This record gives sequence, C-alpha cells and structure tokens, in this order.
Amino acid sequence: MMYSNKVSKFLLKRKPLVRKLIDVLSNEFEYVSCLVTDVKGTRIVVDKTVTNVTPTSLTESGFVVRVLGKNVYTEYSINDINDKNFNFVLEEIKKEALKKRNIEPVKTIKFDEEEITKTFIRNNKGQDFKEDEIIDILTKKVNEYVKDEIINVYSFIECNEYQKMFISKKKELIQYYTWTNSAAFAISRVESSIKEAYSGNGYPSLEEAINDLDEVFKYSTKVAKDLQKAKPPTPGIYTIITNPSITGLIAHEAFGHGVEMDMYVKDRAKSKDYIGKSVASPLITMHDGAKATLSSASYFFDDDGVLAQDTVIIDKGILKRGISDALSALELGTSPTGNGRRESYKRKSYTRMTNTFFSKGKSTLEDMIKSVDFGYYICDTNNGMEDPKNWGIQCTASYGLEIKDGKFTGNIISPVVMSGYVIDLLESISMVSNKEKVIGSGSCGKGYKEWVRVSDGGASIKARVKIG
Amino acid sequence: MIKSIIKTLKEIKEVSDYSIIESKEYSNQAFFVLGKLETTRVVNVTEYLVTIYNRHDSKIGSSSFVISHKLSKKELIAKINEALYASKFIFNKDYSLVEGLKKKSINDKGFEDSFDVMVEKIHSIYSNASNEIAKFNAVEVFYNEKKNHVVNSKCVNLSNTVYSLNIESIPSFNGKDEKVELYRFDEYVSLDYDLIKKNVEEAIEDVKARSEAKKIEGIGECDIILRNNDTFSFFENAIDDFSYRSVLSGENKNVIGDNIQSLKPKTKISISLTPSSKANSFDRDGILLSKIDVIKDGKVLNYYGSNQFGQYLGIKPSGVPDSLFVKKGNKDKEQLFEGRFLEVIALSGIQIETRANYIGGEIRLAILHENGKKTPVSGISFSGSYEDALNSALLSKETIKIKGYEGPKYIKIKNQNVM
Repeated sequence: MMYSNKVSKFLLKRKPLVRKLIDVLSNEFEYVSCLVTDVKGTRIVVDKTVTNVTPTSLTESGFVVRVLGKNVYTEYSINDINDKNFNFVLEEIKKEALKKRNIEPVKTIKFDEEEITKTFIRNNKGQDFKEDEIIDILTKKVNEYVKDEIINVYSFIECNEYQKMFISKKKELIQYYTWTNSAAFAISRVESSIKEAYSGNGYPSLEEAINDLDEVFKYSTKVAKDLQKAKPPTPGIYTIITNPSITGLIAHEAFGHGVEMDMYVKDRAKSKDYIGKSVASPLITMHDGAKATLSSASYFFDDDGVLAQDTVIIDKGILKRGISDALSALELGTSPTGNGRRESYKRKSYTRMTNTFFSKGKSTLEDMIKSVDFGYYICDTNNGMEDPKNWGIQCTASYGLEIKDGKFTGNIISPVVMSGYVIDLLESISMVSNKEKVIGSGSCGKGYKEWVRVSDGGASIKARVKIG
Repeated sequence: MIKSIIKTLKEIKEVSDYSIIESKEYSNQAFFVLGKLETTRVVNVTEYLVTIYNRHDSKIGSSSFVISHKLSKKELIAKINEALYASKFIFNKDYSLVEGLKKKSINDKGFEDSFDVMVEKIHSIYSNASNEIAKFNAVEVFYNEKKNHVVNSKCVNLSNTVYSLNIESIPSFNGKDEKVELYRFDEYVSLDYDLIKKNVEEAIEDVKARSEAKKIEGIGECDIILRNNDTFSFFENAIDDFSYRSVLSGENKNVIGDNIQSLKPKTKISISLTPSSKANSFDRDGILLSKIDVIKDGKVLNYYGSNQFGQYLGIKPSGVPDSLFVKKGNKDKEQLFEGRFLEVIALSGIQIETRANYIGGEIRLAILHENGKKTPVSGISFSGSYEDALNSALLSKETIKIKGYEGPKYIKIKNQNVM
C-alpha cells in the first residue's frame, strides 16, 4: 500500500536518544534543538514508452541539530544518531559551535519557546491503493489519451508520507500527514509543430487523486491540441483575467516573496517600509499559512518547531504583516508565523511561503469576462521570479484566451510573459471572482535554490498588465 | 554498507540485476547577514539509491529505494521485496545494464585551504569591496565535497570525488532615490581568490549601475547582448530536443542531418556535451563518458541520453555528460559592442520556449549602448523569436568556464522587441 497511516517506528525509536543529546548539549549551550525527518515518498511514472517506480525527491531520513554557539547558530546534519555514533556527533557539534573565528558575529539571542508536547496525525483519507493498481490505472489512461496528434502523455502519481519530530528543551512535537500529487504532461504534434501542456493537482486523499485523473488527462491533452493554433502575443499593456493558477502565481511571486521576513533582516525587502500602507486594490485580501487552508503545505508545525498559522498579509489592500521563520523573528523582535522551512534536513531553514492565496470577492467570472472590451483570460502557471527589494515581477503563463467585447473569440496566445511593477499590477485589480481554488502541486525556490513544496491560488482577478 | 547490500541482493533470486549509487556528502556552510556571521552548518551524510531489476515475460521492470541509515537484514530484505513487488508489474522493453571492465576511482583535486581559512578570506574579499552605500546584504558560502560510487551487477565499479564552492550573494546599493539590489550565484570548481575578487567587484559595479538605471520608454526594436549564464541557457535549450527520450517519443522537430539554423545564419553554431572534469567522466548508469557533438556547424550530428533509451533507439548509449561546450565565435568584444544594442546584465530569469519559438525576459538591469553612449536601464522587458535569434546570433571570441558550461561569454541576437 502507498500509505502506512502510522508514525514512523524510526522516529519513535530515536526519540530517547535525541532527548539525551539535547540534555547533554544543554549543559554547554543556551539553546539546543533537533529536527528528525523520515519522509517516505513513491513516484509512479507512466508514459507511452516506459513505466518507473522511484522514490520521490522529498524522500529523506535524517537529523539536524541546532545549537546557539558563540553568538552564532550552528547546525549539524547527519543521517543517523545511534548508540554507536552518539559521542562522535556530540563532539562534532561542540567542535563546530565552539570554534574561534575572526569574523564578527550577528549578536543573536536564544529562542524563547513555550512548553508543548503533542503528536499530530492526518491520515490519507479514503481508499488506499497498491503500486500495481496505480500502474494499471495510469497505463490505461495513457493508452486512452495517446492518439491522433497527442504523441505522448507523461503522467505520474506521487504519494508522500511526511513524518517529522522536533525536540528541544521545552518542545516535543511529532507530525504525520500525507499528500498525493497527480499530473499529466501532454505532447501534441502536427507535422513539425510540437506543443506541450501540463495539468497537475494535489490532494489529501489518494482516492480523490485517482478519481480526478480523467480530468487531469482530459485538460492537458485538450490544451496541448489547442496550443497548435496559438500565436505569440503582440507585446503591450492588456486587461487580463486570471485563472486561479495565475492568481496564485501573482500572489506568490509578486508579493509573497517580498514579505518573507528573513528578507527584512537582510534589508532586502521593500515591503518593510509599507506595513500599514496601501499596496493593492481594496478588493484584495491575501493569506499565507500552513493552517490557512488544506493543501500541499499544510503541516502542523514548521521545521523550527513553530505551530502552523494563518497569516493575513494584505487586508483589503493594506499590508498588515509579513511571514517569518523563528530565527528571523528572533532577530526582528517579532513573533514567528510558522514559516520556517528546509528543503531537507541537509539545508538551512529560511522563511518560506506555504499555502498562499488571494481571497474570493463578489463578482462572477461570467460578469468579469463580459466586462472586458479587449484582453485575455490567462491560464496555467509556467514559472515566475521574485524581486523583493525592487518589486519587479516576471510571471509566465502557458496560454491566454482572447476576449473581445466580453466574449471569447477562440484565438489563443502562447507563451504569456507578464512583467512590470508589483504595486502597479496589484492596484490595477478591479474585479475579484466569488469562487477560489488553491492548487497544491507547486514547488518554490528561494533565489535559484532551496526548493520546497507550496500551494497557491485564489479567486480570478481582473487587472492590467504588460505582456510580451 | 555497500557490501552488505550487495550480499543481500545476491541472495534474492528474483533480483535479475541491480545497481547502487552511494553518495557521500560533506559540506561546510556559512551564512552572513549584513556582513556579520549568522549561522554555520556542517553536513555529513551518506545515502544509497538501490535499483533492482526483474526480468519477466521478455520484459524488464525496475524499482528503486533509498537507504539513509543502517538497516537490519530483515529490514533490508523487506525493502527489496517491496521494490520487487512493484517491478513485477512493470513491462518495459528489455535492455542490458552497462557492463564494467575494471574498478576505477577518479578524484578531482581538492581545495588547498580548509573551510575555516577559506571562509575568512572570502569574507574579507566581500568586506573589502563593501562600503556604506555599496555592500552585500547577504552572502552564503557552501563548500561541498561529494563522493559518488556507482556499482551494478554487471561489474561496474566506479567512484569519484568532486569539490565545489558556491557563493550566493546579494549586492545592494543605496542610491539617491532608492535602494536597489541584484542576485548572484557563483559556482567555483577550484579555489581561485582572484576570480572571486573579480566577481565581487563586478557585482558591486552592476548593482551601482542598477541604482542609476532608469526606465526608458520607446526603445523599440533593438539588438540584445546576453552574457554568462543567460548565454548558457540560450545554447542549452537548442539541444533539448535531441535527447534519446525526446527522440523516442517523437518530440524532436529536427533529426540527425537537419539544420537547426537557416541556410545562411550569421554564425554556424556547434554545441557538444562533455564531462566537466576527469572525475565527472562517468554517469549514473556507469557509462564512461566522452565528448558528444550534438550540433556541428548548425547541423544535428548526434543524439544523447541514458543507457536505457539509447538501447531502445538501437544506438550505442552515449550517457549524459554534465557540461555543455560551445565553439567560440569570431567576434572580439569591440566588434560585438558596436552600434545600438542592449547589454543585458541581469534578467529576472531568461524565458526560452523552443516549442513556442519564444525568447524573452524581464530586464532588471541592462546598459543601452548607442554609438558609444552608455545608459543603464531597468523596468523593461524584451521578447522575440528563438529561431530568429539562433539565425542572427553573433558569438564572442571571449569564452567563459562556469559550472555546466564552457563557451562564448557573449551572444548578440538581433531585432528583439523591447518595451
């Protein structure tokens, strides 16, 4: 079966030793914590030529010990802490943390933690499946949809069991939760013209993912066919309406990265000077948080051992606050928001987004489309890049559907590269739809590294933006 | 541990073949905030990726799992059996694993200085280049030592040690009207403090230029010069279609012998794949790698890819070398930098969609050259046809060697839309 719905024996077995390590190190260091991860993931990939079963990129098992040494925090990442290597690990941490350096440190203080001991569980809902059943389902779908101009569909189902334990002097937290992703990447070919389209989604239930597969295949193969008649856009400023995927991309890239408060510590974020000020149309309310909705980044506590929260970043156009990891909050004298995340136990914790979205408004999508004289309905995230200090944006969408006099013309543009100044875009928002959707299938880097799973989305928005 | 994994794999009859990749990583990391040390990290990990193969009904199935800590024999057998179960339901066309000739260990030269010495010197280079108005808001230093060991049931037994130093930095400048910053990620395969110093100085010069940059309306159609990593991306995209996997799927517009450029391009482009160092001369399948000429003088010469897909295409598998080599151009910098053009210093990220015939990007900093006059510009974007860019490309004589790429430093592409 893909899910065990049980907390890993490995975590539970190592708990006493981790507690001992913390106690011993606490004799020398003001602050000590240990995050233990045991993430198990299986990815089943099927296309017309091959089938593969591999571990997911999230699969990992290891320890990261953090201590406050000579004014700097020191971390040590290792696969295992057991009776045999206990003393070795202890000595290595001490050696690193007590090193004399000729470099001025940031004067950090110790984390002030509340006492808490809790285990959180969110099992896979509904029916579980075996690998052979999933292979069979995906193979049938690929065979059904690869025909005519659709020359291949790369499809996958990915099941991840997240199991993490955080222990410090005052905390003992354990979490188990699951998340399933499915996707279909369709390729169409008409003579020498080759087009591609992707559709993916995330689910708290494998059964739900399986039930939704037909939609995922249907959508990606339809778009791959439609893109055969797509033309590049004429560069210019246009009225656009976004689908939830593009709303999420804008929320994430245009504003989300800019309110990551480790950027405040580094004097890297313009938003620091805009708290309490208007940054968007009054129609916009923006959330981020592992607790803000149920999606791919809905954990119970972050990698710093801070409980999940729902942070309102923008409330009716006014910037309220940013999001932060524990260390940044400590340095800024603010409260952490449960956004401390590591790419893996081998990497540092940074402030990272989780589930980021614009809340729904009052307009119907139909009315929004009717209100457009000329513009585009922009669909499906390709990629984006942040610029937290200077608020430039670049968001790339797969395609746009032309709207003229309030109706779709059947013309399609691709690719759609939107750029400009964040505030200009957010202030131009004139309508927000009354339905929202958060898509739990994305990954996000910080700069060009530190990849973590995120979700984003929200309601459709009507705005003005530069395309081209 | 690799021996005990092999021993157990050999005891299970249904395992037709196996491969194991052992990855040992030792990394030292230092994180600076506004010039001061905030965090240090040590990573000391070893992981094993085990793939088991099961031949059945003239087909082959494979399944992989990761081992991150010592397992009891019972636990290991359970993992192998789980993988075996899945492999029996996979009906891929049969192929052979790479056969090894002899055990081989290839190691790159390690860095001369210890991390502690290295990080002090690097910190001093960054500090010396900084002042009240031009400085680095964040610097992250990663020194990595990676040992890889690939073994399989067909006598492949190859190992290597590679070293690298990565520095992420955020140069910033307090201009008259606003503070500006740029993003930089520099990767070094050898310890060269002079090169680090040169890059640091370049970063400060660039961010100073961004502070002076203005949005200029009406640039219109303009030639574009790309450099360094953007040049790398430009060429990397040109060979995407020629992987065995793309060819097998029918996703390649051109085939061997076709021209990817028009009949009379400005420069006939040659792109190869090659190992970046001696230690990188084998891939994850255990194929010993050599240079593959993918594009020669604008024509597709070879496909490239993994052992499995090479055999499916009936081609001797090339493997996948880790670096791109592009033949240098015939233009010196003075010739390239003639006339009216935009020299792109920093993009949000270059966007190349070969299947949509698109190249473009949001420009965070560029220098508009107009017959000798230089104006820093920002807040604009460019776009155009990727195929036209391939045909109009002029390449510099000057070359660079960065991680994953050796070739022209600059490329000039004609008539892009700038707005």
